[in-house]
Amino acid sequence: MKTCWRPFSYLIIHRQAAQDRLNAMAEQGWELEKIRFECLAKFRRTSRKHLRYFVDFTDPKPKDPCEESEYLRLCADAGWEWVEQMSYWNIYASAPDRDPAPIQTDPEVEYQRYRKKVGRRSWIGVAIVAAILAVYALLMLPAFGRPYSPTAGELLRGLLSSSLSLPLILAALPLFLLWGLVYLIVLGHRLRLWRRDVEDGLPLSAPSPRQAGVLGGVKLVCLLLIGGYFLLLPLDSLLNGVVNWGFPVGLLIGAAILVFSDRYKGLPQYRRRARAAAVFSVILLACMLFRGPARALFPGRLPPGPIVAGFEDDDPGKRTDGLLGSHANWWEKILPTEEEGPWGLVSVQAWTWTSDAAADWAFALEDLQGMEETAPGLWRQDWGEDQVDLLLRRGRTWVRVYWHGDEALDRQALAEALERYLER
Amino acid sequence: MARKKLETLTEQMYYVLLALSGPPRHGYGIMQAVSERTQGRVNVGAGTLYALLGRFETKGLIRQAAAHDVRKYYVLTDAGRRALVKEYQRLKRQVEDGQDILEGGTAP
Repeated sequence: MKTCWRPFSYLIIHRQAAQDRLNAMAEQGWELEKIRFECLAKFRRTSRKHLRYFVDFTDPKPKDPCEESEYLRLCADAGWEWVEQMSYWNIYASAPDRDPAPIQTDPEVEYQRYRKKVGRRSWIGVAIVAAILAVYALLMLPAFGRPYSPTAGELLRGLLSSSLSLPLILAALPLFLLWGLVYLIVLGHRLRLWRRDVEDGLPLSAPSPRQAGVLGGVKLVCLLLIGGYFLLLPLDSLLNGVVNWGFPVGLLIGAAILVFSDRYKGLPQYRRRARAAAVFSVILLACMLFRGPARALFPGRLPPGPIVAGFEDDDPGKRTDGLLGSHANWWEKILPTEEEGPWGLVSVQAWTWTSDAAADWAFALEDLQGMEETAPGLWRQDWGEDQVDLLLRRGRTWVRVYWHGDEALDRQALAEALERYLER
Repeated sequence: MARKKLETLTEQMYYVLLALSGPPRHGYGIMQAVSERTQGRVNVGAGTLYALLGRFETKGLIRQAAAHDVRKYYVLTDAGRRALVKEYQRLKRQVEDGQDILEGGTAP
């Protein structure tokens, strides 16, 4: 049977626009099969005549599942077959050889249904997100400007070189914030129009198809960006270890509750989401477990240590590769083999970037105060006889070492070791 | 909000209560009775009916009389019958008030 996928992205309050779209597809001989990710609809060819759809507001997590079952049964008796549930919508199709009256025939009742099923829950959701952001800002902002706390630029540099997925969200954040503001304005405006319609006894007004389409398109872009983040997350976890163990474990627990809880028995869409969450969690856990072997196979843009001949990798540290840059840091040591033999401890930080502009920007954040450029691209600061801070830059890559060790160790040899490292 | 206290009834509310003034009916039976009584002029949607039945039951105008095959059957209570008669008399007075003028040619 011929099928097709079409974008199907609308604001929840634009249910009439979505319904009109489904009816238009039905007139062309397409019936709705399913909706995925709240933005993609699959249609299949049908020879049915007079197929119609109705999009009705619903509560995706009803307090009383029996009440929801009664409602669905009454709709079925009236000639409306349930087809799909998407967010706060139930989508019904007219039963074959039936010409049922619309499910909602009273504007005031429909408005009250929206308020009861959707309105309060969505405002609570907005309030929760706003509260979380406010608390996060209150906790994070005082950290800036304190001694030894990273600057915003240093945090950004770290983010861009340590993760594949987080920079995507960071870049999309202004769009998300703008979208949230637009959504609130559109929602408030539409509700104000509906209240007027109810007072005047008129059907609830709907936006123009163009307006509904544009706003749905922006919503689709936001969903794609979020989807891109979750697609990158397993790879990011495999390469850079960005995921905390609690995240996949928490997802698995939540999925188990959805699958085994009686409350969600009659809600197949929740079971579907639970299975998807469980699969995603297992993939994440596998990526986290295999991070070590993956890194051994793919060391990344920066070669591993040791830098200094005769030194051992005391602490493998961390190696990360982002879309724009890479960062590695580790410790090396040499311990005396005789009672008075040479010893040293080296802390290494290495950076490399994919473009000159990114490299120049990131390098400008290095603290070179007190350092002297003793040769082109080589900065040095001595702290007494047995400590030295060395930084060597070649093109888009630089390495910085802080060495504390036996005064007999050759600083020139250390600089040459850095040179050899950057040549690798 | 209008009709918050069900002081006056919408056309759909009136016909739903009228449909329950006889033997107990379930939801779809009410929809069919209303459509037949009005010869298709008034159609109560399933979602609208469900909400109205919930309101009427909360206000004590109807009660559940029975349940078969998970379908609930409703019937008017005494309070519901009084509300229905009150609305009927209100509508009747409106018709009478306009009858002389609109059909008798008398000036208002």
